[in-house]
Amino acid sequence: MTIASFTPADEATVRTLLAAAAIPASEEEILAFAGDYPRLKGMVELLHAVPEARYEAPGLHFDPTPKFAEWG
Amino acid sequence: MIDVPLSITEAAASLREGEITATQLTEAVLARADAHDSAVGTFLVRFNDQAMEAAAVADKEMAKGLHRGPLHGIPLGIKDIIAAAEGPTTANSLVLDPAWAAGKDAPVVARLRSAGAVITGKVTTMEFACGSPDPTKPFPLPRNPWNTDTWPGGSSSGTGSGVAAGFFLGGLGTDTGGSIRIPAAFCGITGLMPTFGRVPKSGCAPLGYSLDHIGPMARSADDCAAMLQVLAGYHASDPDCANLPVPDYSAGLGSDSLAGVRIGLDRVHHFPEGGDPAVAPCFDAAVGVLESLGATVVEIELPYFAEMLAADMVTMGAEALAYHLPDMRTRWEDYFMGTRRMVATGALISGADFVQAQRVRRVALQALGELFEAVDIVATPTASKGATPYTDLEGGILDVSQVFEYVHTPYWDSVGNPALVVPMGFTDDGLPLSLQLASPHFEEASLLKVGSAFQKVTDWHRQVPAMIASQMAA
Repeated sequence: MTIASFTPADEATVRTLLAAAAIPASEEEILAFAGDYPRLKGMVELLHAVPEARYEAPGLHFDPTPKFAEWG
Repeated sequence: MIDVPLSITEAAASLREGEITATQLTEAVLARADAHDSAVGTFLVRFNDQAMEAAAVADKEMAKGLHRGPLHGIPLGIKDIIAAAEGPTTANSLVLDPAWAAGKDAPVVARLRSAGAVITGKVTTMEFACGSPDPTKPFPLPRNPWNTDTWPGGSSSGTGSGVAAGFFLGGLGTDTGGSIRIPAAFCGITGLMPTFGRVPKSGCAPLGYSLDHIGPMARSADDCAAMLQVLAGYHASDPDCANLPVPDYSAGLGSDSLAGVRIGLDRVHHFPEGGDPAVAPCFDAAVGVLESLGATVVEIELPYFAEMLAADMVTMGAEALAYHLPDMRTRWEDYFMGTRRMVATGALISGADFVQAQRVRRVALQALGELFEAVDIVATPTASKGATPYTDLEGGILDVSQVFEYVHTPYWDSVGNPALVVPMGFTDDGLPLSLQLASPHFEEASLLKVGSAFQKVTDWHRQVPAMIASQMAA
């Protein structure tokens, strides 16, 4: 398994978040997630850095009068 | 045994003319699967008896003059995250409860059946439509018919490999980050991700609720048009399904003129370092073909490109984990390694991050809408390399994040626009390369028209892998 470089803070964050979600990742997997985390964090920060989104509403739609139709 | 027509369109014509029967056609493709599927790993389960029965019914109907349309009597494959009544859906996973959707057809499968299609079986997918192959799990390792030492792409691996190998003439894929278009590109076939909401997705195990699309994979744009005609349209069971009229997708097909069509080329984001050297000349040649048909081309840059890749990853992670968390907590080891690594990423994303992704998606939609006032179609390579070698597997998994460094599909999932991919050439190693075309929302007819015109004057889509070339009709 390829594991990219990460900081102790990355590892601590990942351990905490996986534990909080009660995800039973192995030690090797936790380190792999820690290696992925800087890239993921960079993606997230890219989204928070879009000034045009400052007053934009999210593309979420809640329909208070849904039709619960079955299929199949 | 008959010579099997290469495409749905050609097979439909032969069936209509009485040159072949649906029974002969189904027997022939099942025989191909008998001969080659052990090397390709397309099918999870075959519905031989039911397929032959459906073919016999189609023959009786056509003998009486009842023609249900171009899918009547046509053998198709179904990605096994989509429910079909013949058997349980596995999602290529040990985890999915076999009782889920048991005995039921997803609306898309029901529509294909009503159109007279012959369902040949359920085919491999990356587990729950994400992650990567895991040879430690008891499922076939999907292989690319063009080179069985390479991955056919995913997640709709079996649909891609099955069409390329001629085990069926078309099939259903799903696309959340590229899962129709990547295997279509790697397997040298045509695939269409429709507009989000154009095709109902109920009866399909979810990956990303706001990103999932079901769409056709087949030999040609004309074949995809025939399938989309049947698949598209409102269904009340899918809250995201658009209640809009379905146009006639065959109307603009077969033209050899693209006069008046404005095509934007994004070279900025689609030629990363390390890409295959054949991609640029193949792309330039494909663009030249489009120009020769009368299209005008301009250089453009897709807005918020990196942000939409991030939005796809963040949204998919959060939405997928919401679905999988109970099972991930209790059945972690039963999941494929690649699925665990991809889905559990959702635990590293906050609620605010997820909502921000949905805000930026709207910003990008507005900017892209402005771009589509200046051009009708955007053209890019689908990927900057051919199919990924299995030698790149490390510890049993393919690092999907590395694959996405040279696959250019997720942008269109985030914005929900339709995207059609068509073969455009080969690498020096003989692996297919692919052209991606995207249009404004619900303008699939425009895309299919461009794809059809391109394929009228090129034959990349008619190339077949050597392993089955001798069995294919010319």
